[in-house]
Amino acid sequence: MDFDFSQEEKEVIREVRRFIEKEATHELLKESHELEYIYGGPEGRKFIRKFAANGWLTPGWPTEYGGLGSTEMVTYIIRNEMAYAGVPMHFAGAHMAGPSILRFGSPEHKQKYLLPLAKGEIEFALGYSEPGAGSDLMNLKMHAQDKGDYFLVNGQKTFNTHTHVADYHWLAVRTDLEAPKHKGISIMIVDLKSKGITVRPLITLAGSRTNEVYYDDVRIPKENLVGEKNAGFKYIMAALDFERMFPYGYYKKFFENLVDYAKGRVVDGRVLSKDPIIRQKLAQIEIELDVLKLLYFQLAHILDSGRIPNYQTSMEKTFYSEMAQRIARTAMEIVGLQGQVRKGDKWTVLDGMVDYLYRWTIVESIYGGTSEIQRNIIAQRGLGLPRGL
Amino acid sequence: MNFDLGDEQRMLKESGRKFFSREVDGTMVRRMEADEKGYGLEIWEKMAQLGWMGLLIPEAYDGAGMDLLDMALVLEEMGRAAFSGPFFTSSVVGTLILLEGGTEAQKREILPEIASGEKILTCGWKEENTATSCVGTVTRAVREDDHYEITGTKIFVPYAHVADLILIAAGTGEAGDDGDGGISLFIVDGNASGLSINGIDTSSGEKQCEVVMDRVRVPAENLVGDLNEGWRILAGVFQKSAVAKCAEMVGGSEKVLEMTVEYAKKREQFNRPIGSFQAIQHHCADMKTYLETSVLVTYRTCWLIGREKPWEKEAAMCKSMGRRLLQQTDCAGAPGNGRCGFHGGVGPPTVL
Repeated sequence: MDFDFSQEEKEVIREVRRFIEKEATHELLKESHELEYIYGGPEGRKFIRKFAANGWLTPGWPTEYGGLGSTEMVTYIIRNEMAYAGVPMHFAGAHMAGPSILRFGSPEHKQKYLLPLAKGEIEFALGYSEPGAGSDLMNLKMHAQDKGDYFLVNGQKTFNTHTHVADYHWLAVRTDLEAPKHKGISIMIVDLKSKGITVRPLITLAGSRTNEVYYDDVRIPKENLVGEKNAGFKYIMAALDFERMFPYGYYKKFFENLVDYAKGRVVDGRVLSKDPIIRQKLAQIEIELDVLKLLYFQLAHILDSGRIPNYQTSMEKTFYSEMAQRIARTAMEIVGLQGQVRKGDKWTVLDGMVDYLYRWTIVESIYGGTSEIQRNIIAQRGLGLPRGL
Repeated sequence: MNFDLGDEQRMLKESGRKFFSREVDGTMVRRMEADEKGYGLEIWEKMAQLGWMGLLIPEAYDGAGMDLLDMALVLEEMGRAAFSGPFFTSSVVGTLILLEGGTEAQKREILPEIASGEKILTCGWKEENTATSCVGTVTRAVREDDHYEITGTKIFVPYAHVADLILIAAGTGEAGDDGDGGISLFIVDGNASGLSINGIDTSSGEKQCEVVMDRVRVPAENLVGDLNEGWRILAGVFQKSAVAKCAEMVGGSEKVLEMTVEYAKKREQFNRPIGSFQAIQHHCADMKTYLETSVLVTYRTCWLIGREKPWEKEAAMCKSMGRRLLQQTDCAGAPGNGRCGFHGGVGPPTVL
């Protein structure tokens, strides 16, 4: 056992921090926050292209595709540093579509997409959820009709978050209406500028944008099919096992600011941090962040030792997202009324993050598989309990 | 980072698993509760032969010279098997105190006999009005020529009735600003005159004793560490011991979870195993998460202590986690606990 980073890993942390400190402008951080840390805005693209030139966007990829061929541990370290710094950290391309292309894509796909992805030149949006397909993703209805030399696609997607800033859609679509649900789905790469695609905003509780996407007789070239036709379920599941990871740095940074606030703020004649109840609440979060750190880097270790995490990713995701909600609630309790004051108002504290996180963290336990779905996975894969209905 | 146990550690844990599943049956806790000594001589000797009594004791004093992580692996297996006896107080708490504060002569004399299992060591520090410190300690040690005379009452002294030596915390000086100064540690012979030991009736069934001392004579050379420095030694040892205790709790919880899951797979209601219901699955999933995170935190903290890296904060976090773990798993397992009570009328404590 060894619970320390190696010298090389510590050096990576130092380098990434130095780079971000030098290159992350006020405009970048503002845009990043407004886009909820997804990649694709103009400032983000400017920054990430420079960042990616170091191989840091896709460090685990082979060098021929723009990676560094490094360990998963290094990948996890870098992603966590990005989260800590508040620069764009959600990449549907580099984190989800890219690794799937690497594993299942044709040589042409690899040629066309991987290098631009690694350089941060293009971004994808995930096209999974539909009004009738959330946790039960396999119930998706969007249909691709085989027209010989192209697919003709019609239907609706919802909560496709990156779509308004991305270049490509990583689309899950039904290609066989007769087969059992999970055997009739395919993955396709769609240029979001294609004729017949309408992207409409959905403004969330947290105040930021996700989208509804309508496909109306959209023609998709045959060569845009990823891997085998009707094997999409397999690709989606594999991507989840490999890529379901949630860096904790973002919340660690907020928590550090919260502790500083508690140490500096006098309320009712006493510094907040001297109140034993507040101290207990803060200590509890410190414990949970520490636990999360171990759960997070354990995933990298499992991958680096040639194993595939399955229920452990669910465990990390659940712990992460529910801890995020506890941090937000704790912050609201400690800060009190001013916690509700929005960013920009003169009475705001902690840069409006208390109000924001209180609303934002709700989605954390929903997207990427709800806490309920994750607990099913832990029980069934981790403990061998029988599947229910 | 490497989250896997090394080969030797895995072997140690496996031999612990084998040993305790062979030597301890599900009735040990109840049998030992009724047993006057509270431990079995036969199993004690076998454990000593395996070298476990001296795991933490350096080779120079006839121990195995291993670290707290190794010890944690054995403790985890003890917890899993619900082993009961004075191992923890002698080979963890008592040993750590002597290693931390004992003179060379004390270590040379006592530690080899702890390692061989011939002698049992325990520690009495708690009094009615103390909890997590020595502030308010009433027991006093008064110097008379070449010896001290100790008078006072200690409670919750584990296995004092079978201990050969009892480490006693007694006031020797001023409490000071923090209130925990002026405490010194002494090695007291379990058969010293003026000493009377009585059992305390607790629900855990572990042997806990009160130790009443009336002018017990202790040679001056039995002072452990510097005069008035007792709490400094105890505070560090207690934190390390708390982490070691977490390993035991982790082992026990692991067993409870396994039994609960097995039961949920077998028990049928509404024509299907209750383990197929999400209401049951989600509680089990939470227990699994509590268990695995507690294992991670415990191993990590032991690892830090073994490498003499900063560990105090981590130890406190570890104990806090461990306590929650136990509450979570016990809640799920025990009857009448409101939260779930999977086992219904068949609570695991009676069958574990």
